[in-house]
Amino acid sequence: MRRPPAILLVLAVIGAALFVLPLIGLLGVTPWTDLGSLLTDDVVVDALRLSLITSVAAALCAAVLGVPLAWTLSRVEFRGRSLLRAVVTLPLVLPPVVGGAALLFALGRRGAVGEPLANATGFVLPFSTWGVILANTFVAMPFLVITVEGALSSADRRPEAAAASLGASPLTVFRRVTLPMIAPSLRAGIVLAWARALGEFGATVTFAGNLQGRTQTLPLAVFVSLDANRDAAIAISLLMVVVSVVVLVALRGRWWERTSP
Amino acid sequence: MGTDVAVSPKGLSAHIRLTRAGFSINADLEVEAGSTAALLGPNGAGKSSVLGAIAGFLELPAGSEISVTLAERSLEDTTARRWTPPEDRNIGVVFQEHLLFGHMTVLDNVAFGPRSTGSRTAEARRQAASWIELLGVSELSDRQPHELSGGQAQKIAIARALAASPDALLLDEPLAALDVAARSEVRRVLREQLDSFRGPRLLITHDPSDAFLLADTTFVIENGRITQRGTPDEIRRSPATPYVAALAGTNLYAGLAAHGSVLLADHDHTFTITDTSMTGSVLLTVHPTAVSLHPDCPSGSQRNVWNTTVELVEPLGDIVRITLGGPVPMAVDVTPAAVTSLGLRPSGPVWAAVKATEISATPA
Repeated sequence: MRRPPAILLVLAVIGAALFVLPLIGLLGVTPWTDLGSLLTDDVVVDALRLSLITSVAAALCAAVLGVPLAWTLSRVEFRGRSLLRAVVTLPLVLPPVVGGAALLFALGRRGAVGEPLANATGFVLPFSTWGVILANTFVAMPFLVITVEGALSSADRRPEAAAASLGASPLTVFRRVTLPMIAPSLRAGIVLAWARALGEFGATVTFAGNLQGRTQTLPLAVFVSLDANRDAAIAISLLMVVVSVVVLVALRGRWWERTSP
Repeated sequence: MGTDVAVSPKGLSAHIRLTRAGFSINADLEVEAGSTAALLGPNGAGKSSVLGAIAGFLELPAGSEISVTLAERSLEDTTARRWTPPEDRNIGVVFQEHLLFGHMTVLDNVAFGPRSTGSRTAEARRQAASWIELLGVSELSDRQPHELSGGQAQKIAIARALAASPDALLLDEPLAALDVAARSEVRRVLREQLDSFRGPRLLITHDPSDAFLLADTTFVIENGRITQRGTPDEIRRSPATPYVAALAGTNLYAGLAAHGSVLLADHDHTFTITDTSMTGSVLLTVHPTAVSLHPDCPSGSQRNVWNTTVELVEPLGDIVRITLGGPVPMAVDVTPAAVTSLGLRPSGPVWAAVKATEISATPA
């Protein structure tokens, strides 16, 4: 093989360094001896538990709501479809803090939807674990919708026609033919949504606050600890890196494998 | 619209008028229950649109006029704004590509129809298993579709369509994607299944030999219009258009091969072919331009030579179609000059010759 152009290699090395150096930096300052006690601290254990629960719940919510949304965007023709598609993908570019604020205005105790909801049922979303899940779903679902809609739009429609000719209702076709056909993309979408939810900070802190055990997820715990207890912040950061890497590596082989052209 | 057509109560009738992207289709089809009709035409003639309209797959352009009646049930009638979704038409479809569901076993593919129409899983699987057995492929039940050969997959697709107990069967080029060996095997299975299927069956094909072997009636479609309908024999005897003449002129003979000789099934004649290894049922194709005509017995080796009489002399554009009588009815295309020089006229004697290499044989 010929030598690759030097300029590309130099830029590639700088690019890779951008990812590798912070990791090395993190490992360099890690208080290895106290790591055990730091990670078994109540704050850390609560945050880890909450992060796992809320990120998984948000990924599931994103799937349950996002797949029908993607299907509608892909298969149903209606006025304003392009607009709806733009709105659905908005959280991808919107600063999460703005998203959290918007959620607060709509669903907060004084919000347009939140106030009647609270008056009628006493259920208040902000500053609860449900609020964390909602904020996470808000930022994570676009990843799933985009992935699944792409798969639906490029999927072969003829097996669906074959299924209909065999007497299957549209819902049966969706459940037994369409969904299995796009399963790889759906799984990839769920993983992306989960990863995004795990790292979510801005919308969560704005909409759900920072209450240990209820709304304080790992990223929030890191941010709070940076001032008060640097070693704890480093330990939690390391924990997040490990959790993310373990999950991505475990899934990569099965779900992310690129099909060779 | 609303043309009354004499179709037996269980038959299928379809009237289709539609224009899509500048291409218009105007076709009326009737298929009796218990009979197979072929819709024969070149690529782009509108065959798939006709199938799509009958099955309910087609998104109809504005201004379309469609009526589809099956077993006395009006499935679609644009004048009455009636439209039945595909899942309620009870029309089985076998596609060119098998379109089996890749994530299900063969058994579950075949059980899909019964399950979709309300059977419990166990009952649906039982029905599926008996269809798979009927087609002689029980050993494939637990396989995934990607583990099947093209011919096996198409057989399963046929079983899947039949297991849904449809009122009519549509076959969209079911043999076109298969290699030669698989094609004759699937054609055999298809012929058996079509024979025992009670409803109307419509075979869509561009291959005259499929129409010849599988259908009782053939509709020829060209450019969105039905240009001729009739039995294979009728179509061969009086082709209505140059396309039909070229198609129908392709002489097809069923026969039994052994040691390079083929004894014809319907005629008292034997042809010599080049493939000496072929045995059993075969289908012979002789192109009308491959036959030479002579005033006297021609000399030369390795040739099929026989004495016959001219039945018909028909000018078809810049060629003349000669129809030969017994022992082997055959269409031959010659130049007008040859007609004059050979003195060809109805009832006149003539010698016909075909090289063995010009006779193509496929297992049937």
